[in-house]
Amino acid sequence: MEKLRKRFTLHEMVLAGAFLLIFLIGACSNENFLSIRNILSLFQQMSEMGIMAMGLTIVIITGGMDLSAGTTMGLCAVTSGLCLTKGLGVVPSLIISLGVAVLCGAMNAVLVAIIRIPPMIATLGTQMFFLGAALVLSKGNSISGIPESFYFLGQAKIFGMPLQMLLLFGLAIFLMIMLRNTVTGQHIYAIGNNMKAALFSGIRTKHVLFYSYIMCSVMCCIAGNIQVSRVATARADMGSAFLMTCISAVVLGGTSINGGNGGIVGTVVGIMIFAMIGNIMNLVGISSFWQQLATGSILVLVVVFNRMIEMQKYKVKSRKV
Amino acid sequence: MKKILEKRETGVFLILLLLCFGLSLYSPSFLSYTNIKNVLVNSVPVGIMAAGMTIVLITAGIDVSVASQMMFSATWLAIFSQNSPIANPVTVLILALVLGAITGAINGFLIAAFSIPPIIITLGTASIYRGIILVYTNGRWIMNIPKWFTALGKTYYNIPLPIIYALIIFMITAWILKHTYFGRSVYAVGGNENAARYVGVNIKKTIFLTYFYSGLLCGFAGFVLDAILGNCQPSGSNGWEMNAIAAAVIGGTNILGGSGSVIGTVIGVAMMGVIENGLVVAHIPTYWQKLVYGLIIIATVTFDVLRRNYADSKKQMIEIDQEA
Repeated sequence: MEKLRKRFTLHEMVLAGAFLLIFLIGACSNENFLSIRNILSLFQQMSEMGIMAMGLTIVIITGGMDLSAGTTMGLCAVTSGLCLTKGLGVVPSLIISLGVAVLCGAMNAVLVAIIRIPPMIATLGTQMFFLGAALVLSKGNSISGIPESFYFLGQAKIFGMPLQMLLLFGLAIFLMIMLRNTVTGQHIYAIGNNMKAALFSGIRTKHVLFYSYIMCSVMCCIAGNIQVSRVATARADMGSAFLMTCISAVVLGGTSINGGNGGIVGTVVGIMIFAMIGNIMNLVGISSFWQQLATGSILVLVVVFNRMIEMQKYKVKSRKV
Repeated sequence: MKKILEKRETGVFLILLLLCFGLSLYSPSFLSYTNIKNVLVNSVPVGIMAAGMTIVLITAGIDVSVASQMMFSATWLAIFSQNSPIANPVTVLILALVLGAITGAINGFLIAAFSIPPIIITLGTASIYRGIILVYTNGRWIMNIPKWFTALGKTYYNIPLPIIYALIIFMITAWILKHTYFGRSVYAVGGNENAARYVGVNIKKTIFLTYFYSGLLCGFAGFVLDAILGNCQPSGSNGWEMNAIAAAVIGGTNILGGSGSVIGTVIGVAMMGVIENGLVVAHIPTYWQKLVYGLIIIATVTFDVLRRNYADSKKQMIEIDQEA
């Protein structure tokens, strides 16, 4: 026990416990839960949200927030959907949609890093703006008729495993290495811990913020394209419902909402927990309204719980001093 | 006179007048009594929420659960008014305020007691409140709200009742902000939290009361919404929290806290209503609406923050001058 406590924080142990508990509930409540088909489809469903949540993790570690992530996803989805139906090839469409994502991220970053609007407010505005842009582009309709050559992204399987699941883990490993072992990654943590100290120690905070917000938008773009390919339609409000779950997963994964600590592994575990809850509810036949209720409750509970641990720590420290 | 001209509200009001003038040139039906009445009555629920939002924004907080709180109240009121034997205007009004008080108190408690960023808590509670009513009603509309209830949202002698409600709420809110200890401490907390603490303002109590009051108004907005519409769609009015925020921000409430007024918010609400109506009058498809609102929010917030940064840099220059 003592050893365990040294290696892992309380939060990590609670997270692992919650993961195992929900896994056990799933295994007991329905015999189909543990079938390989269900587990693969679980991964297939969670990879879109997982990729978006990983992008959000980076921004949240810098002490920021990207409320426009969901609508960025919708805008990128609509863009590539339009390009594809207008007859452009798969590669040009993907490049254009990535370009739109970079623009979205840059716009957020300009508002946050240069004009210095609080990130929540800035992205609240761009959230509406991107949704509006997507609605105008798609004329308020959903875009169908995506050519079959695009289906590979969300429907292909490699050695029996869905492509987007491999993409999820590939990106997770890439981001983990980026955050842990590169200078930029360390700068991201530094900015989240103390923006002023980071600035005075010579970190180009604006560059790092630009990098983070653009990275987040690009992740949303990848998620959006996967979904377009999976369901073969593009809608403007595609990602809007993801935002809440993704923020909850990031927070559940141990990334502090005030920035400065956390990581990709926690986020992936967090997303897995939410995906399992949704999956179990689907298998047992509970309406999706309950999922909304559950997601909100978990978010509030986790944030409050994290905060209580922090307050406890703070008290102990101040007593020692 | 100069003071009035310098105020932010005046500028917004002039833009509003220009907008109305332009629209009336474009389409004469814009200035008809029915059209103006419709614009104003339809903005009443958002307006009432925006009044609460103004106070929340002045404390440098934010409440993105207002639309959910309003629908929470509206749904239970619709069910109550149809099924309960003791349902009458008075009990419905009391229930509306009680429901609003409960949701507001939950928000306020979580934000004040744990000092968690308000946007996170209200994002969470928004989907909790919405989830509860969706689970209970299974997403179905509640039709046929009783006649005596919808009579509370009708027009008598050419005066629409909802507008009277809104005026009362605006006046109460303005009075609270200007003339009560709570109202003044709201400005103090938003302007400089540390300074407010040293002066002896109870920060936690002020923040709790802020969200409590916002919840109360949301409960009342649900009551007005039911009375106006005559039915209740539990999944409806999605995104109205953005309209409330936009109205307050357009009206000059500083998103960084510390300043703002109810009069500005009233003008902001009217502006949002006129823009929405203008898009319809000018035959622009409704999906442009979000784009326009988004642009307006981004532009006004950018303007506000730049102005504050500029003012801060001026202040620093004065300090340096004095030292030299």
